[in-house]
Amino acid sequence: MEPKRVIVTYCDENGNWPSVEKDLVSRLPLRNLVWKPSNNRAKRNISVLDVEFRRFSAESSKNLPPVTLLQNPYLNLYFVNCEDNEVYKTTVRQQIREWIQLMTSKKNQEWLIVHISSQENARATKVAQVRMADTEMSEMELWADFTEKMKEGIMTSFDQNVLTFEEDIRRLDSQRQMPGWNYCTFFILKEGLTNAYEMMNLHEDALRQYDELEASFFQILRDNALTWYGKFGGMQEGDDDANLLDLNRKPYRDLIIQNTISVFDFRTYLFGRQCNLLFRLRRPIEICHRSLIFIPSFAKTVREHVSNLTENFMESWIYTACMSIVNECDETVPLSGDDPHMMIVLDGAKAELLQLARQQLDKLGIQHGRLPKELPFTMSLGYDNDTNLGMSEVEKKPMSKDLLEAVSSDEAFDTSVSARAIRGFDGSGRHRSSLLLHGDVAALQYYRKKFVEAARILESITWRYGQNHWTVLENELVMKHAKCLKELGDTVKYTEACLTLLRNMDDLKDEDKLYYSTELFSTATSKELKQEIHHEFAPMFTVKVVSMVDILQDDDGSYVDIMIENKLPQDIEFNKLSVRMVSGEIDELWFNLRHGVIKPGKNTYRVTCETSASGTYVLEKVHLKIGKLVFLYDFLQENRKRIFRVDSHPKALKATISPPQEMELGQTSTFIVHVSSGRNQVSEASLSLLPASEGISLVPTSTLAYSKEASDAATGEISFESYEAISLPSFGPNETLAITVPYETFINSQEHLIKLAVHYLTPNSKRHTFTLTTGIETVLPLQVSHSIIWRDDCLNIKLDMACTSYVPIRVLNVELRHPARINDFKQAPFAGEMMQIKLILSLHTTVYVMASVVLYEYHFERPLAEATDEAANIVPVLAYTNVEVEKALTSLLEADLVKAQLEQHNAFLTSHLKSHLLKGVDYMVYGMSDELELPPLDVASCETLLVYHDPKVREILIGILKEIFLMNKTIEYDRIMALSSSNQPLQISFPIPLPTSQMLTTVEIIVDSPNELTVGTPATFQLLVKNSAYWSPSEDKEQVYDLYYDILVDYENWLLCGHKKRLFSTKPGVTTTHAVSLVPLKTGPLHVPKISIVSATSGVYNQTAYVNEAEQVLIKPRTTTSTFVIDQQRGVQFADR
Amino acid sequence: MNATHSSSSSGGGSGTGSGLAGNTPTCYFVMIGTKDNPIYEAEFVSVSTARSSSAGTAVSEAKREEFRHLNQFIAHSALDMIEDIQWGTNQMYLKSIDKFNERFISAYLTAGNIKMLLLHDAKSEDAIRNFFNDCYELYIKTLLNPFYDPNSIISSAGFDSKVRLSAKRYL
Repeated sequence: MEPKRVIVTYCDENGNWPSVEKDLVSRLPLRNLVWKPSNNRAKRNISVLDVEFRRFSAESSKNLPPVTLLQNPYLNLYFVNCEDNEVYKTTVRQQIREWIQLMTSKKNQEWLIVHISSQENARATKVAQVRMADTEMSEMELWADFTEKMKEGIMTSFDQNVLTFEEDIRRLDSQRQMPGWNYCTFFILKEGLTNAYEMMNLHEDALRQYDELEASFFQILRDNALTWYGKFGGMQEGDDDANLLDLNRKPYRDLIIQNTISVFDFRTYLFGRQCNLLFRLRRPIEICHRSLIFIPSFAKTVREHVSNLTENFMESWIYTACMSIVNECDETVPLSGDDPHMMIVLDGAKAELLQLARQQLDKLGIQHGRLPKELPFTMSLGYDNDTNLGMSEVEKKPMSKDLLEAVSSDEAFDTSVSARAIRGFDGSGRHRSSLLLHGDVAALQYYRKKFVEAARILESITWRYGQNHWTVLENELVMKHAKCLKELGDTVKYTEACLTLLRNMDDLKDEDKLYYSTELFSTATSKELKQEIHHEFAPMFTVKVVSMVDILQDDDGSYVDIMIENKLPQDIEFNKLSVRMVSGEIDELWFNLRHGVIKPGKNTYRVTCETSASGTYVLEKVHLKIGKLVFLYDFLQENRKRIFRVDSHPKALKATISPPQEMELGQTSTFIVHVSSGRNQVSEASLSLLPASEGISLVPTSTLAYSKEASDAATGEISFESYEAISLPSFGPNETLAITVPYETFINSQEHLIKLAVHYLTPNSKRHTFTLTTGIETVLPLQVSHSIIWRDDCLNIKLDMACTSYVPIRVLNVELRHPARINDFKQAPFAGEMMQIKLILSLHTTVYVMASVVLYEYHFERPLAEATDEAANIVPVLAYTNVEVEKALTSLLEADLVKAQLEQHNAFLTSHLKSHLLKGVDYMVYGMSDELELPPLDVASCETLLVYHDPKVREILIGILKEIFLMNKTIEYDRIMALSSSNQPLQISFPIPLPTSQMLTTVEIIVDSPNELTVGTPATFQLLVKNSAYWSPSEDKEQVYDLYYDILVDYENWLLCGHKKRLFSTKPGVTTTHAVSLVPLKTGPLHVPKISIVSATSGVYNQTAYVNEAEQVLIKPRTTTSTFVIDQQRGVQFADR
Repeated sequence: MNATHSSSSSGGGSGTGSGLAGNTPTCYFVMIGTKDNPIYEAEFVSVSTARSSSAGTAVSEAKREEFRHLNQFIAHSALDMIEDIQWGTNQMYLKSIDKFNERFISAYLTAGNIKMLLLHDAKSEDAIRNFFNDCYELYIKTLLNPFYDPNSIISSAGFDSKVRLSAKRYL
């Protein structure tokens, strides 16, 4: 419908129109009109108003009734151009008068005389003057007066019109209750007002009129006063797929005037008009919102009459209505959008309409067999999906063309509507609604067997439901997804989908549960699955460890019982069930069970571990392997860690690492690996060693020495390539292999860790492993250093020993090994006595004790013949023990454990004995008194120690310990030694290179009169230098050597008179005497000055033995006093009193 | 008829009423936690419809299952609407926020961002408001229970029966 325009007529009897038309039209449309309603309502601004000029004619100026579509002009213009008064008086005035008379007779029409002249004249009211060809004034000003008057006229006329309409409407409205009142008349009248508003571009007001009309329509509907509607309508062709906004489709207005309009047409018309106005107002959002209310609510009305209508009328109508509105919105609203917020809202509203349209498609699709009658398509049917929908209906009339097309072929039944709706929802941020539509599209693709597409869409959306625990919805989609994947043969994803479904099995039907679990496991075990799939145990299974770890009696290794609860409704065969326990960062144990069946409900399995490794292990995880499917459970995620004590059978194969019995300092360090077979016949075994801490490495070598401790003691060498796999010789039961392994350390640390593993085959050809991570102490508890003291005819060696650990060390023996070439050596006369003590009590912390370390001296007598043998070494050997108490208690404990048949705990208790249970032992007292007092047993710490053991075993063990501690409150030294007899003392040996010197001089200083030394009085000293014949570098006794002595005088105490340094010659065996005077400067005992003798001959080195070393002489005070000032530079000044 | 059946099922859905009778649509009530996860759901037959359709044929299991899906789908997509609306009002009761076919979805958004949705036929707003207020109070009481973790599924039978009682009174 063309928008109506305000009509202005002109009467032009002088032929002025053509001359002004151009100028006039160019002034249009009129701008900035102001309507001040006379009924005191707020004034309104009309920014633009278009005006249509019509030539005045008598017919057209007839007063028309308001109901017609034809309009009355608002303003009548009379153009006059009369310069001549005569002419005016004779003809023109008459004409004007007649015209005015005609105008005034009309209702609600204004008139205006336009005088076109070239000069200014006096004005009269209702005369506008347009002066042509006036150069003085601008065009604008020329016309301003006229346009103002024209606006005024139009507005006055409009106002009057509105008033008239309103009055009429009020009158008619008040008669509503009267019989014979017709809504149509009311409607037409009201619409007249609306048209008036619309004409003036007052769309808001117009819309309000329609809204009022709609309201009154519903009012009347409620009052059941709509009897005048004869029929519902919608029977005409094209009713079902008409553009809702196309108001020209039917002569609605005429129908209304004729009072023959149907409800359907009426509602359509009313809504269409509203929408038209809203479009003019540029409010697409409101249109969408209104249609979202109108379409479903009117659809309800339609449904009441659906039996009279063509097939699928309703669906068709809703679809077309929605689509036409959305299309219209898309066309009208520029895509660039003004306001992003508005676009979001609009997108949302459009999407909702599209969704509504889509639902109609679904309905049609189901009816026509294009879609299956199942979710999610049936969703569109809503709740009242009566079963009588279907193909059995009589073909009434074909429905709309494109819909018919849509349902008639699969290809045309397109998802473009959905796609548009999804875009809309996405644009408006309504991602959930968009998900729903995605699901629908996927379902459609699935139904059309486009599985790839469907799977792709489903994969992207299912998790979003699952994420928020909308499991029912997730399941629905995943089931579809699973079907797609099955069709596609994507086994990996299919398995995952099954897993997802089973994860949500609480919301699955029983038959589905069974179906999918069967599917899952058959897929998992089939060969098609190429890839391992991991999944949590929960919620299909729960797993619990129900026992403590215990040792296997008949085989090496241990076992644990675990319980698996199967919540799936079927038996499941598994390939492997493994439990992993870890200790620290490096040790792990795998408990395995191969092949089994998990029945629904609770099942208990015993899993065994072929690795024997004792230690405290944390339960880490469980693997359940079914085909390619692996179920995992991580115990560490539980709040409480499960910790188990794992022991190995006392008769199982065992390996230990210990320091060698004999250590030789300066050589490559070694440790010894003892592998004892226990009860096993070891036919094949390999050892692997791995440094487990930084700073230690095993010395690469190609062979290792080993010895067999058994009935047939044997030694040999093992060749190997790497420490990872050292194949061991076979050995029988109760045999022990001792393998010496060299290592080196490069970071100083008390202890280095070595990981050790023995893989071995037992006669029943079971493969077993023994693993152990143990520390080797690389620092000795004993520190030894030596120094050499030269004597005229022998050497003294001084050994300083210090204990570096807190536990004292008992030194059992010290002996000296020496090259056979040294003919004779003798120990100091007191050495034997020192040996008797046999115990060094030395604590690292007590510096004083360390300083007073006992020293051993050995005297050598060396024949001259051996003088040139410089490679000779003296090797002192120390035998010591520091673990005798521990060993003694261990053997006591072991005996008791064997009695109680709990030998497997021996290793554990022993290892903790020292650190925890023997903490309170005072070894110093023991060392002094040779009697060990055991402190009372700390039961609490025992319990913490044994906290991971089986409670029953724990009680017994504590009992045993208690008894031992009670029975052995004091232990004698002899008993300890007897108990620890198996404990071989450790030996340390280290080489001391035998020193040789070319020359030795003995220096002696003799005071002439030692009793008469007084301070300040010079005293004569004799310096005796004897050249030792024994150490002479050459055989020649007559060889003369040049030497010089140097007296290192302490100038605070002494003044030297004579030669400080002096060169002299000597021969072997000859003593030379030098006299020096020394002046003592202080009273009291003073050290005699040091003297060094240095060889003056190059190539000859001299050692000095100073007889008077550290000797003191007593200096007496003088009887008379004297003061003297000592100045190093100027000598000494005496000042006798 | 309108059995106050309390469901102990865990997992996604809880407390789907078994009191479905007749082919009339039931009211569907769902509470949604802050992470968009359903924490409680229930279906009730409103008293009036139940009475009128007491002789109605029982809905088949499949239909019910389907309704459940339908309800959840509707509720889930209605969350979008709540998000659109929630910042525009300071009321907790958001009134009818959406329509699905001829059914309404009313929502109530608590201060703690717990959403309550009711899928219903046209009903008076006040009754629904009262029902929501009741449910909110019940929820607060549940929240006071130290053994209840916020956002977890409410499986309390007491809560369920009280909600149903309130539904009977108002809906």
